[in-house]
Amino acid sequence: MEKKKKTNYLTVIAGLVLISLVCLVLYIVREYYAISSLQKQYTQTTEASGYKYHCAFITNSVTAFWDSTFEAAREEGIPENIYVEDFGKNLDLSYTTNELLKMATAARVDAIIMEANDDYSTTQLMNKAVDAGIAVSTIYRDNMNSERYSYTGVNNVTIGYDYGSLALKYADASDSNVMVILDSQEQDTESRLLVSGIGKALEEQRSDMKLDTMKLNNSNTFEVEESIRKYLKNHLNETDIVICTTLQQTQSISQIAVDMNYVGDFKIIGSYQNDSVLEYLSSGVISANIVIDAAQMGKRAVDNLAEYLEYGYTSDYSQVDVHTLEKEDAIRLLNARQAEAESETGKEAE
Amino acid sequence: MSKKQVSSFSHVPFPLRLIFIFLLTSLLSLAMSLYLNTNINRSLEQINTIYTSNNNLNTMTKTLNSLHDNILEYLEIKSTDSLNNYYYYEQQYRNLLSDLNNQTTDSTAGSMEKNIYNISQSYLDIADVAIEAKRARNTGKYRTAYNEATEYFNFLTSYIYSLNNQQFLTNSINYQSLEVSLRLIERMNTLVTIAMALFNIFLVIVMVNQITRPLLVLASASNQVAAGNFDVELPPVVSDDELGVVTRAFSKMVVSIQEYIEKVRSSMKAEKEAQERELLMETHLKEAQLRYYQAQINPHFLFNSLNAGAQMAMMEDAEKTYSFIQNMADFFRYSMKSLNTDVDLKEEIELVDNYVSIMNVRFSGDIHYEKSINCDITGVRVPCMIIQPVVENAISYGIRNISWEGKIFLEVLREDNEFLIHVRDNGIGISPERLSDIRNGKASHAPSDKNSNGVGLGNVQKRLNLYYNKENLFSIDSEGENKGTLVTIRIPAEEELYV
Repeated sequence: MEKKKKTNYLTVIAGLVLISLVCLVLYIVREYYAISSLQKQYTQTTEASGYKYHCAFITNSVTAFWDSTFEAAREEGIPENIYVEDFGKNLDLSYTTNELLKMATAARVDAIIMEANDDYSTTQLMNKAVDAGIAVSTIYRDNMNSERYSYTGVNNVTIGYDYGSLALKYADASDSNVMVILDSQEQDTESRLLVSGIGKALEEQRSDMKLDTMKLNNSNTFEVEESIRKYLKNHLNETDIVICTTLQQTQSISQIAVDMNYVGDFKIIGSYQNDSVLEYLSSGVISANIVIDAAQMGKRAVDNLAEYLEYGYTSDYSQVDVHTLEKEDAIRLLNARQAEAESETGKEAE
Repeated sequence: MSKKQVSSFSHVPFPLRLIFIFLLTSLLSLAMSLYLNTNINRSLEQINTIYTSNNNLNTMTKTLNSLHDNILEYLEIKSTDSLNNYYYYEQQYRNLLSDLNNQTTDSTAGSMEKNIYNISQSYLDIADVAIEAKRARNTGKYRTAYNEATEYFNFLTSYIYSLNNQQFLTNSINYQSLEVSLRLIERMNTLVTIAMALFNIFLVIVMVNQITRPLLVLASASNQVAAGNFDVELPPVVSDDELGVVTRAFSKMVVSIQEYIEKVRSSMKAEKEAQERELLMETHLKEAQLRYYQAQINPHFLFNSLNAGAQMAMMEDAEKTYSFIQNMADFFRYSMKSLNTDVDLKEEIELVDNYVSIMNVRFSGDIHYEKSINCDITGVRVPCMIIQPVVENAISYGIRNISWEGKIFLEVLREDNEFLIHVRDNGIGISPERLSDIRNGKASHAPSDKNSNGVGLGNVQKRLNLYYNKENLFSIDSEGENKGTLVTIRIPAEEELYV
């Protein structure tokens, strides 16, 4: 009996130990898999694809407009075997267009698509790049003196005419003062062409309209809003229609109109498009917007490059479509976006 | 634990098994330590490699700085040292560059590396131009080249710095996941240690159980034996080790003790039986003596009287009377002997002679007595008074009341290891039914006759059995009524020698 007791006692201990051991081993196996997957995560590197051509996309502006332009260009480059790099974006310091151009030339890229300017130094650098065998093209802003092979962008006279037409569309009979806020970065030629386009449209229908321009320094981030606020405060009565040529101007003036309760006191014809602009449009703060098809611009620039790389020539000028956004369009876009967001949330919930 | 497993270790000696347990657990612990060490080392190596890319970029920056400094120094003072250093660092830098990616790729780091690689090539080219221009003392050219080189140098510094930052971010993320995995490894190591400890405990329990179980069985059996229970179930021998030897010896000892006890018990039983037999014999003798005393009126007085009568007959010259009385005296003298003693067969026969002559006087010589002794009976000892009662029985029941001439025939002969004493008569015999009854002990042949000397055939038979410790020494046979009776007494010759 005693023996039996002893045996049972030992067997029970051994059994308990064995059960604990099995549980522990199972747990260890689980831990092991967790560690393995973690280490796999650590060792795995993102698969990079190789490309035949390296194209530096150079712009000095950091906006949603340029983001969508670059994104379209990058995507268009993939099937063409062209890697489009947002040049200088990964650098911790910010560089000017000329510096980036120098850098790209030194980096011996195959092509450069750049937002150019009329500066002589830029022309020189562009020519140097061309001399180094790099295919240089311009986008949105051109440098006609350089040896770039192509320009993709808008015609400033046409776009000015569109601004003028929209101003007329929303102008009351009593409205006679049209203010155009220009970007200081805009080259004089381009500004002149733009303003002449507006003037042409106005003259065609309302000879009584008075066109005025104001150049705001875009380089100082906070100056735009302050300048507009200051101007409106002083000249509210003399302002009937304001034409903004940049997104920042459009957003600033809309916010000021709402803040200062100026909505309805003057009409706003804006430029470009983002969520807040759509909201302002839908609520009637902004009357209408001119939107350049950014994606199309990026896409066309890359298409031209592909053509040039393949055949050695391409069209010298590639025009990009300009759209008009009005209240109904904004509401429609917003609704569509909301529906999309809702379906995505639903999918996530599922 | 199955029998098979037990038997696989059964031949291993005890100390070796203990050493085996110790070694096994120690080796397992050692293996575990090695495994954990390997784990930790691997993790440390991973930590070491994680920031290698940063280290390489830092080295690159340093080399580039030295290179650029030496270019400036050479351009400024045109020293040989700086030129040598320039070449040295240029080579160093080129070596470092060879590790960079120079293919077009869409990975951020890859494309940055490619840019660094190509800008570096441009830088080295222009630096070379500057050095060459300095040698050619073309001041304008080397100044321009140096400015351009400085510009590239700044680009490179910026690029390397940015890439370094980016790598650092990536590496930090990797480091974080590695840190998590390190913590997991640490926990797993603890768990593995615990698991190993549990496994060791399990192993020790199982093995100790395996070793001690037969010992416990043996101890339990020993306890029972110690308590006096020799019918204990013998512990099975499950191993060939020392314990097996002890178990086997124990089992053998228990079996031996059992056998010994059985032997003692049977010998005690035999002794007891012998004592009982002796006691019974004494009882029968006493019974016979009692009957004897009851039957006789002071035999000494009778014997003395008979002697006086014999002397008187002699003095009166009555020969026959003297002989008769003398025979009577002899008969009674013999009768006075204790029935407990043994006598010579010869004496027994002489007693029969006396008896028959007495009886012949009584019955006027009607009894024809013959005897035949066909062997040497010297020294043959027999219990006292065994033939006379038989003869008396033959006279009383066999030939007394017959119409023809009665005959008694006594024969002693040897047959193998036995002396056969036949007492035959030609009297009325015994019917088969009665003979069967007598043999089965149903019919009493106890003497009831007043002529008897008091000793019956049953008494004779029992005394013979007790004396020789044998059965069937006395037999009665008759071919039927009026065909006489034969009584046979068997005296074992060996007993005679023994006695």
